[in-house]
Amino acid sequence: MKGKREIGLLVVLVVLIAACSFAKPIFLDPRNINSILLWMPLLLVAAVGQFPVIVARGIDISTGSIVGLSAISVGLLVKASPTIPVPMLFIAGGMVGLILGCLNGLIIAFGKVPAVVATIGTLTAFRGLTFVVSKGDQIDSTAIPQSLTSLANQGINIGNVTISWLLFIGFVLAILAFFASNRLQFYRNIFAFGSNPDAAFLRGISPKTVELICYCASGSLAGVAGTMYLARFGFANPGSAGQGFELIVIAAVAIGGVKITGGSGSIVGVFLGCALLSCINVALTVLGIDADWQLLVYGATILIALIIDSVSQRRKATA
Amino acid sequence: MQATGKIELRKLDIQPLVRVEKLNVVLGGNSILKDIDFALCPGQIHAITGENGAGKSTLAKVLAGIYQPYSGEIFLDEKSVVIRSPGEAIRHGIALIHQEPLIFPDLNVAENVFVGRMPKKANMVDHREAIRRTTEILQRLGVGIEAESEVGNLSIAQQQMVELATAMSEDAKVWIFDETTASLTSKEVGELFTIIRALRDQGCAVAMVTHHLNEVFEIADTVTVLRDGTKVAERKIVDLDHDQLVNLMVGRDISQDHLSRSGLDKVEGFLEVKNLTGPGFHNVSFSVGKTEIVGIAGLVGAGRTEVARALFGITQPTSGSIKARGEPLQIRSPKQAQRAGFALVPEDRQKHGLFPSLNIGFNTSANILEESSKASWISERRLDSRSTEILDSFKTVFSGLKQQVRYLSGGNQQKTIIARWLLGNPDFLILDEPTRGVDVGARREVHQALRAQAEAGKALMVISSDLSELLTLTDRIYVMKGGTIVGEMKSKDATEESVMALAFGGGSE
Repeated sequence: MKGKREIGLLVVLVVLIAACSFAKPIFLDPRNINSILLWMPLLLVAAVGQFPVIVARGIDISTGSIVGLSAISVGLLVKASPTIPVPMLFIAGGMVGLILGCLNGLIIAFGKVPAVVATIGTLTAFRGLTFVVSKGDQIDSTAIPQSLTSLANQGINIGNVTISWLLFIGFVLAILAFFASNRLQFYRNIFAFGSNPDAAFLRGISPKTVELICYCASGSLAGVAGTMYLARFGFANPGSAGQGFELIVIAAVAIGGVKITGGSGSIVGVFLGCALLSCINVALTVLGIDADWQLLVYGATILIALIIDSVSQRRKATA
Repeated sequence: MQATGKIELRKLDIQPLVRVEKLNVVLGGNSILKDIDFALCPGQIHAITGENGAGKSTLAKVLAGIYQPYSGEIFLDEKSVVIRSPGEAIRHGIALIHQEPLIFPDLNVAENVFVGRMPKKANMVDHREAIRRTTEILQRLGVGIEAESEVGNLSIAQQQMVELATAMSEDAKVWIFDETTASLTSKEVGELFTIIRALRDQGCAVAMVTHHLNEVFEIADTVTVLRDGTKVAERKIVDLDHDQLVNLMVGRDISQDHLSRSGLDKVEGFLEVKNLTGPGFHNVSFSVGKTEIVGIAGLVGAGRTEVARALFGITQPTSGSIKARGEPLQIRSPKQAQRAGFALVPEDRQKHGLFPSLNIGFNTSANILEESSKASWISERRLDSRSTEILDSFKTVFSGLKQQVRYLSGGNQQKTIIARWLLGNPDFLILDEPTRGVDVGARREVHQALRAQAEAGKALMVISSDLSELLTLTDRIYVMKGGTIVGEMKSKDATEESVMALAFGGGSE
């Protein structure tokens, strides 16, 4: 039973790549592959953060604003002291995200506010805070040290394909999350809580702790994604940095086979979901789909994937 | 009232594993348990019984750390303790086996058994060790479940076994079974009882919360009877007989009198079903007359509920005819059925009957909102007075119409649902297992209310697996088997044996 879902996703991914490269051989061009690979790291890191939240029957809609606020804060930091070492920038981004995620967690676990409502609220509030912190000014590319941006355009070269350092960081975080999700007692408690919250409580698992930590994790990783945003784009605008990103992240997690009602899913699935979305995104351009149509086709593809999934789940339930 | 034999009883026995003294529990402002003294001794099976709402489950939940006592003391091995949470109860070796198995459907058996405390190697969860230990426990329990199967795919009885395995892995010394047999078949109950007896023989203290008196006599050594939150008796089983126990539970005499009328063979027809075939049943013909209560007997899966669902428009028959009041009738939806004056009190009240999170007032008046409103504005006062009136007429016990219905006991929930349908003033009332999980007293009140409805000119159809219910309540009984009707008899001529003979049947289908 387990792993079936991941194999299905892998098949879809391979078929998609094969079909695209058959229709447009340029799809397999190293330049094109590089642009797919550039797309992935931010999505992957944020999705790995979103994963425990959704397993615990929650949702974090504030992800995009946390990415934005973290990118702006790290940008301001590096502007003030340009010599700060790069790892410190990632830690700073993570810390900003941790504080914001912790706030989400407190509101949801202790304020008993439904996650959807709470994080829609903080989505707006955090975006507002981004404008306050930046005084509405963009962090320009001149302020970003080359040591940071080089993480996006340098890395491990395999032929003409570059695994950027950013993607490398994304991989490492995903692999750590993979092991944590299988082998850490606390992470297994998240699965138990998501599968049956009442039973989890009666078995001595504290619902408040589970929820608080899930949103802290989601926030921290969104914060790290904020630093990655700065590295990849080389600038950050308080209005547009990370805007709308949360929906892509949630879509990637859902396509990755994580049950949106909680309790079930895997990091491998999340990884494949991110890969699939990145491929579709680049494929739309390569296949020459009119720019006006791209967003519509992208959204429709996500919906179709989710409908197929929901129907096949129901089949399984009635079988 | 205090149990008289209690003090000497305790002297004879070994020191109790768990004991409560002067326990008081208050929930939502209502006093649920009053001054309870209660003890569980090793090597004993102690039944806790009483009518629904008597406080049996509450007592179990206090010991399991789910509810906190308002006052009173709990002793473990004669040391005073406070059990603040379910987790603490588990650490004290107290296991509560719930009525609905407490499981994690998405996780495998081993993770269910060791939830929150998986075996570890270098601080990492060791799945292989968990599976090894689970397999060992499952073998000890003598059940053929794979430790790696997903628990959501198991049957209820198997899920129950997973819960037992969990308690076993916790080395529980005190086992409390809260109506655990409710969703099991009789064969599964037998297997469970074997395990419970084995636990007793190993020196565990076992408490069985149940309102099945035959279970009390079959398995328990001692019984404590609760009524309205107070303890009315604690007795050795050998000192009691069935009728004495019923009297203790109810506090009044309940004789098995027959409710159905004698004579009166001719009734005016109401419903006429001919050769009806649909999902789960075929060639079903029967009639129900005004002022008549017709029973449908049969084994689970004989197609009884399916016929009821088709009559109420939930499923569509493929052939055959339904006539009501002499007119042919096509019922495509529950809404149409209601308009035709039909009502269905479903078998599973939690899933198909109640709005659990809403209050009693809403649950009672849900079907009469339209007729009690003027220009779409609902007159709440009118609704409330009608609701109160009908609930009181069934002797429903509730603290107010604003109380959430999920806090009512099973019997009072059932009365609420029946009240809802009767408020709509139906001509034809279908009741599927109307008194399942309902205690003796409430059952009798429900029966009296149904009999009164028939006398007022309504047609009633009662599906029940409880033969004594069919024999005492109904006028005529149809027996179903394998999706069709295999016999019909007058209730006053029928016996449990004659009905069962048809239901199990022999020879042709």
